[in-house]
Amino acid sequence: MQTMNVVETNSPDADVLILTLSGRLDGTSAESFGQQLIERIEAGARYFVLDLAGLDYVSSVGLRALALGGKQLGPLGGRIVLCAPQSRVERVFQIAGFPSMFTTVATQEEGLACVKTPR
Amino acid sequence: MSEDAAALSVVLRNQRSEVERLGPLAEQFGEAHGLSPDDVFAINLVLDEVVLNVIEYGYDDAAEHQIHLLLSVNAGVLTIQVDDDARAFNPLDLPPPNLDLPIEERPIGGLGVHLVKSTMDTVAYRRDGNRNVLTMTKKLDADHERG
Repeated sequence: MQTMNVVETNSPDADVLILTLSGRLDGTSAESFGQQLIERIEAGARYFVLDLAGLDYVSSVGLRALALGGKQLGPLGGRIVLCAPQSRVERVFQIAGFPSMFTTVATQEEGLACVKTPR
Repeated sequence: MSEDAAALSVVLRNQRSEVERLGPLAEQFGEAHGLSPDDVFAINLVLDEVVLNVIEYGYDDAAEHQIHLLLSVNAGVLTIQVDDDARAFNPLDLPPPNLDLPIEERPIGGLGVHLVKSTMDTVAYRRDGNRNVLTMTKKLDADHERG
């Protein structure tokens, strides 16, 4: 049983990938999501806008998948921006120290506006 | 309601697929005790982190093992106990991760125990014979329905 859906939305900028996550980024879904991220990066994607408004849950394996993606993108000049996390998910990000690793913004539009700007 | 009636006892096997039961279990316990969504989330997170650690790293053999969970609510305090016969492991011995490091220098992983310690108010470990017993407590959100 898959616990999370990932949908790619049409992006106004061909360089930017918008992924909308919904459900749970947990022990059941994190591995395949992490793999998806890595495959996209290997295929040339550099700028990721992740819309998390529909993401209800995240655990450390999910954080790990995001961190691995971010780590791989760093030296390539790429970036992941996290958009609109729910309050409980954002709290987990904060406990895990994500603010020093990822930019988090309130809306997908803000994410699109800043994802190509270096931090 | 007596303390016993308010407790939920569950036995898991040391298989990866067992973690799928933890979300529904937290929901069910939360519903039975009128817990807030924040508290249900916290229970789910703590169980996920502790149980996955035990299953992934705790055993040196391929045999089937039992992991016992005990959840209870008493006087507005949630207690979660996880009891397993895995290799002795005291999560409190782990140093806290350095969260100020930039992404390039950050080690991947090691966050699970940190999440547990940050989510719960108290975390106590003891080795009881050949079992690890981890007992964690958290004061529930004030708006939960008593009893």
